[in-house]
Amino acid sequence: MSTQAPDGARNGDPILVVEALEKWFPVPRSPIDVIRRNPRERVHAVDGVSLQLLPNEVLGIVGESGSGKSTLARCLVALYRPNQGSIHFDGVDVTEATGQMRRDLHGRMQMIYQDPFTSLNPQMSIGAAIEEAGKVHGREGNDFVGDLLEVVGLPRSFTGRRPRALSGGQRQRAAIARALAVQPEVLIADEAVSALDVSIQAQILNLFAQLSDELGLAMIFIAHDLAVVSHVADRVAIMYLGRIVEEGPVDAVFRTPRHPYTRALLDAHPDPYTLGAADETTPISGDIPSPLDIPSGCRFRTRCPYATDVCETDDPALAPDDGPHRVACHVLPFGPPAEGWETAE
Amino acid sequence: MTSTEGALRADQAETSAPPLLTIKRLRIGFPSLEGIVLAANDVHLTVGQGEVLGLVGESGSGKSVTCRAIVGMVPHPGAVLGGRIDYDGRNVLEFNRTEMRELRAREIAMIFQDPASALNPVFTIGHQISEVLRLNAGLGRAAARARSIELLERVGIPAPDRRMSAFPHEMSGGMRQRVMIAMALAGEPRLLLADEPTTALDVTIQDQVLQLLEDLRRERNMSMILVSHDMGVIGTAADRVAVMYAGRIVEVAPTDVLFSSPDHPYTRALIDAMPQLTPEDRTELRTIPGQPPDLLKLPEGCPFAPRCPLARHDCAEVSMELTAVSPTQLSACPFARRES
Repeated sequence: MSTQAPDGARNGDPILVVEALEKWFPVPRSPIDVIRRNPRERVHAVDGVSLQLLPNEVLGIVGESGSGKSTLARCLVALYRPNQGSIHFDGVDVTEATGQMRRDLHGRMQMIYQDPFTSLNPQMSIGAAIEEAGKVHGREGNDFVGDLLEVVGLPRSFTGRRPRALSGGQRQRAAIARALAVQPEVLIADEAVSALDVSIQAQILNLFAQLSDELGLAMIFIAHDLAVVSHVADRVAIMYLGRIVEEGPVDAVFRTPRHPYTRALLDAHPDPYTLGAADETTPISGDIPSPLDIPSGCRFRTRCPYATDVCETDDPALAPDDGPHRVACHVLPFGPPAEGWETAE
Repeated sequence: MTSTEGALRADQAETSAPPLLTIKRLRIGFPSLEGIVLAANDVHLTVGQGEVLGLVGESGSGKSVTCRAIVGMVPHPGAVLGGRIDYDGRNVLEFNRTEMRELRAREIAMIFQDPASALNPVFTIGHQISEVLRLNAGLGRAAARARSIELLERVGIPAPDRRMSAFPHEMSGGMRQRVMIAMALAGEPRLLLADEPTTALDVTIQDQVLQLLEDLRRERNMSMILVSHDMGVIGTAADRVAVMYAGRIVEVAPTDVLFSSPDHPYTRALIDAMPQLTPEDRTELRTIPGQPPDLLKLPEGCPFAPRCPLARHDCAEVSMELTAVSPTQLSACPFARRES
């Protein structure tokens, strides 16, 4: 296993190593399919993902709906058992962990979801929810509850409130406090700010940035909004149909994208300050193909304006020794990686 | 500029085109146990011929309900309490049911955020578009079918003749929104109300749908009100923008002016809170302190005052009347310009 730090900017061995991860779901067959002996179909949600997360690093994962980013997150915290590949958390194989080992892992990795309304128990006060999480994972007393509320920017007096008495932003803060109660080493945030209004979203983004700076938490930050990821992540991975198609330091990927899909995503991002410039490129056509029927060769070729014959037959891989800014593309229409971004923070 | 010179009201504000729709002093209320919630409070708006007016604000700011009032679709138990909405010279608030039906059939169409719930799941999309054409345009079966295929083709649905027999669940979100747009176009509307039309869509698909709306607007000289919470979408698609907060319009300006020199502190704060794709430096995002307002417990005067960095003691006496910052820019804050 290669444990070389991918961007060299941070030291230490990766805390999380994912290799060739695959997760598929069987499609329910109708009786007619069974009688006709139609082949069993599978949705390939995650289809060969390898990644590494360093301690104290924030890795952003960006992709459109159906790209497999949420399935990946659920595999990481052992909510799904992957069909292929491995996930090692601090040397422990997550996919094989059972019993006490698995509970320990849950204490070290915590997930934050998009909708805190459904992830917090409506019957339980905020304080009780935070306290319970801490106690299950061996914290004594309840004096940590107030401190945690303060860390996430809620007044201590909120301990007795129920989730319904809180606004969306406050609820998300409470969910974060509960995740922090078990003193995790890795936070996995799945679209954690997507349901919030702009003004509240900015507050929560700052909170995530602050947690990574002050508590030194490693984080996987999943979002469909590029600007949101750009704000919190050190490194970013772009997912398309279950694969990572580009990966690198966030400045390098967003300023000098190398994969046509990343370029298309960036061009499609509505930014009122880059009017006119964006109109020079043609938007990519069509929809993301069904994960039931992934195109042969490069999975982006059906929408790619640069696709050639090779793309139809050969599946491009992320080159492992391609430096920190890696891309899975045969054509590379935008040339080699730009110099100078690697050192960017 | 003195305040008396600047006492130009929103309904007199310059739009580059003659107004098709003018909203004056619109008030929409919802009864609640603790009193009437004013979802829209003295709203003034104008939409010019062929113009795209962006209506931006956070959830609960009253942007959707304002839009719905134009076609008489304020959700129960809400009601329009006052003001007028002049469409093409006639006050639509005085329309009877038949007139309102006519208006919705031929003049003003609306598309919603979630096309999956706006389409009927048990009929084919061909059936649904043809029905609109047969009822509103009085076309026969064959003519309606032919016209439906034309419309589907225009909104960029591949193989439209085959897609006619598809059910909504067989299409992707982007395709369903295209179908909704095709249905909206069936009556050849002069005004399209688009309520968060791309919020449920992925960025690449959002880009395609916004491009389609822009092409259609040019082609038909159609006016549009684009409602969105996303400053990015508003900034790329609208000609002029109205910013709403707690049921009030706080600022109206041409899009480029709004982004380059916003006047109202709320507009400034909204723009500052937007994360940038490639920021110069990744410092903290500037945030708006506090929580969105409780419409039942609004302060006297300016509703934004409790969260405003420029707030002062006389904010409670602000009338919230829009006054002119420049001939095209109106703002409800009398203090912002002096401070900057």
